[in-house]
Amino acid sequence: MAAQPSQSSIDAMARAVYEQCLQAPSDYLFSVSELQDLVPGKNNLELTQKVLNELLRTRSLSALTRGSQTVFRSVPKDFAEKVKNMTADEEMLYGYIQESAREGIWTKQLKMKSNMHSTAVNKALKGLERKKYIKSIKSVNHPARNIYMLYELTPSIEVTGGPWFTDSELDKEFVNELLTAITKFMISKSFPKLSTRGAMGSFPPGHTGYPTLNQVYLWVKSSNLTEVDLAEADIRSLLDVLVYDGKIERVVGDTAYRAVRRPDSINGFAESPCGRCPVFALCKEGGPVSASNCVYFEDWLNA
Amino acid sequence: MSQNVVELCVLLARDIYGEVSSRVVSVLLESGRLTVVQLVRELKLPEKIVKQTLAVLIQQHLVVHFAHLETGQEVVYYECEWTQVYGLLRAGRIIRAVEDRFGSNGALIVSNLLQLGHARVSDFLAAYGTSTKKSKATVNGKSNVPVIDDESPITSIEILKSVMAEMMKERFLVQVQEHHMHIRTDTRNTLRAQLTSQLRKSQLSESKLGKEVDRQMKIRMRELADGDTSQHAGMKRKAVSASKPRSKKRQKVSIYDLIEQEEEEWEINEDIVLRINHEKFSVLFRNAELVSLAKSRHGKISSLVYAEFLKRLEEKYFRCRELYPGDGDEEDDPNKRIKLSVLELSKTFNKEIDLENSIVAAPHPHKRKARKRGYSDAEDEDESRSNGYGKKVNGKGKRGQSKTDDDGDDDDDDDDISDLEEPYDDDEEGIDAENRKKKIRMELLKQHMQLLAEDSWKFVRLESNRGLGEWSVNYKELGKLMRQLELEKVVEETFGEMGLRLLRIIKDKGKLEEKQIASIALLKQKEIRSILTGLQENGYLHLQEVPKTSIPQISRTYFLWFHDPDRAIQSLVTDTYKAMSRVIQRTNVERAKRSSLLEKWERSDVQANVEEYLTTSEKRELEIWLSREEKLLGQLMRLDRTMMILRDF
Repeated sequence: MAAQPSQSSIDAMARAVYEQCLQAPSDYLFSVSELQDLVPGKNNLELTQKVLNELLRTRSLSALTRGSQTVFRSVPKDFAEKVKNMTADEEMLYGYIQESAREGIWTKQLKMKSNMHSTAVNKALKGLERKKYIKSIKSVNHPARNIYMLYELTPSIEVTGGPWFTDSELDKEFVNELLTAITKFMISKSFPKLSTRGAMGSFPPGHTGYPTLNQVYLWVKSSNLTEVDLAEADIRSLLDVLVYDGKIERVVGDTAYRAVRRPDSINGFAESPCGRCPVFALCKEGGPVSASNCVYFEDWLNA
Repeated sequence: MSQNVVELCVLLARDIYGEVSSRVVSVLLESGRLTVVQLVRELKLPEKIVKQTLAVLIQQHLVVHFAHLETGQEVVYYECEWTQVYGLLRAGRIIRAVEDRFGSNGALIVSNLLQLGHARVSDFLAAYGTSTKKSKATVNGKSNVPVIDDESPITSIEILKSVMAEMMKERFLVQVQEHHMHIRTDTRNTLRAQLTSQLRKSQLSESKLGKEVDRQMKIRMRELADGDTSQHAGMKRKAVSASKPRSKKRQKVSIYDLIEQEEEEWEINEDIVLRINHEKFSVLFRNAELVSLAKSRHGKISSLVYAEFLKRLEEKYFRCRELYPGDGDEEDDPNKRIKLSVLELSKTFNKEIDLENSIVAAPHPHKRKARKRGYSDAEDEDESRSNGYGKKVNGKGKRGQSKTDDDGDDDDDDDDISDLEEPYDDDEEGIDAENRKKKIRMELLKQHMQLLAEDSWKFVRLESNRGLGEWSVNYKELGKLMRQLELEKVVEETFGEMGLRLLRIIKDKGKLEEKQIASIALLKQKEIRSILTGLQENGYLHLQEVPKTSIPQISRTYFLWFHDPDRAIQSLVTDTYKAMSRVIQRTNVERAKRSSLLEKWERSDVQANVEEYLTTSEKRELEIWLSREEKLLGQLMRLDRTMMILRDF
């Protein structure tokens, strides 16, 4: 057998076969016989074997098993290109990371799946990260975990925590700004404007003009408050928070919201020196802290 | 009963009745019921003094007693009625409330009764008539039996009697009955024993007997608590030999009103003994509190409507909380609820608002209302725009206000439109303006009631559509709401807005994990942790551990936060008691610091000539003391207000 010239021709043949494989749908699985048909030297088992080996070596095909049969899948060109630069370890990890898609995968899981030593895993991950094939992300649910994801993907909402999170940290200022803005909006819609200042009016009973969730949503959209794309559900959670803050209430059969005035009276306990006293529990007549030596009372009396 | 209450009660007793009384109160509260012999042993005081003190305290209703037959001998036990001791704090509040309603005569009667505990009408009047006579035929001649001031403005006994009768009719004063002086548990036990032996004759089975006794107990206890509720309870017919001018008056009245004439013939029975009914005053204070809540939510006018509404219902409510909650409540049976229609309400309300407007000095009696309606004009205009019919009268000059609404309000009912036109149409209508005015007013009243009903706090509740709508008040729920609001205020004050948000989330959702709370509240988990534990320390939140595995392990355990309103309120109540004690103690400390100065100041010769006898620095110190005392007392009263809401309403 003339092995010498066949090396280059095998390469060419392999490339041709690969091109043909790419024509098929990307997740199509080729059986050995199908590939054998693609190789020029018909039914030349030896040649097919060589071609396949070459294809597998260049990572243009990947071998899988279906039942007891061995089947092959074509690997997309750009990926094949990347894989060429990877070590075997790196390639395996890359596969797992790719599978995890937008959720990302935790290093501990990678170790478990790959059954590799952790130094090997770390080394491979470092290599992949350096080549900008993967990136490390932070998950809101598990801030302490090292999670990796393909470089070109954006993390899913479950991972980032949604619009309220910036770098997996809850953006308090952002949320508060939105809350304040919506409160103002609600107030403007909930009470009639009266000609006299300071007078309190109410809309007549049965009034249905209070803003609904959708109206608030549309207002936020049109108001240029934020560049972040907020969904209606996000606005709902903001409104829920305002309800819990006691600033607005649900009206018209829970379909709309309106601002409420807060009672201005102060609780007698909260305003008394004892209500704010940090050592209130210790305070006892004759004890180390008592009404007679209380500094808070003195301050309060002098105020 | 918590230690904090005992502390507070003892302080109150000491402030008002002195050291010995406070020690008696303290021993009785700490050890429970005692006989005189036991008391003497505990107090290490002469029996005579103990007995005298007990007599005073019994007169004031601070101590109750009951005689038991033990081994053939009658043994009398004494118990301290701490609610009455706490009630001492309310004196100022009660006098003020009575003054508002019954004028200075009422205030005079009440303040004397508060000092005396209870008094026979004839004795009271006699002391009043012959004001030099000191003793008032009360239990003892101790120094703290007050003397009615010689200088007090002379009011005729007839007027005092009628005011007293009026106050008794409204249950602010009640007749003292035997059971008032007895230990409640004993009264109940005796009654139960009586009923059981009575019913045993009817040969019921044991379980049936128990149920029947329970049922009758409730009826009997309620009867006892309510006292005589008949129309002329505690009254007697006036003597037939009435003097001439009076009979003339009677004739005069009878021409106009038969009922009034009949009332004229009754007067208060001078033989009955009267006392202050704290329960009824709580009802009054609760209404006032609700009105101020309504005012903060819906403005003054709505609150005035609400105030009048509550006042009309007031006579039907004897106390804030049912004796047997959950049993035969008005709440369970819609037919039993106490309700009032707008039609009824308008009968008394008309005068009220006219009065109000005349004080405000608005040239147009409807001005406030008209302005209030201004916004609904805006609504209407929207409607007219969208519906395509315009309104000449209202359409102009109101445009500025119509911007408030962006989507057409189609649900405005026709009533609205007609009464909105009213204020402006009066001049044109002319003839039946009076009638229409009445109609408008009623419609407005109805609208205010609807506003109050629509509020998520449910100030009132629609019962039926009779008479422009019949309404009732769910005091039970409102009480819960008010308590919750107080708690929320405390939480907000101590833990800020975030604390309030967390508390309300947990209350709404039930049991929650920290992570879930954070995601609902849109707050960082790290931030809320300290607040949650703070809330737990104060007893407003609690933790529930749920192990995931059969062997409990911290890492495999859910920690669920939850809020139990009753426990939270209870812990706030205890804290409030403690805070009240501290305020009183501090007042005493401040007073003790300046005791020599104050002694000097209280001398009558110094009082007569303050300028001369006190140095500048003394005067300055005195001023400081007076302002501090005022501040502390004010705080005490505000704490009491919180306490009323938390405990009594």
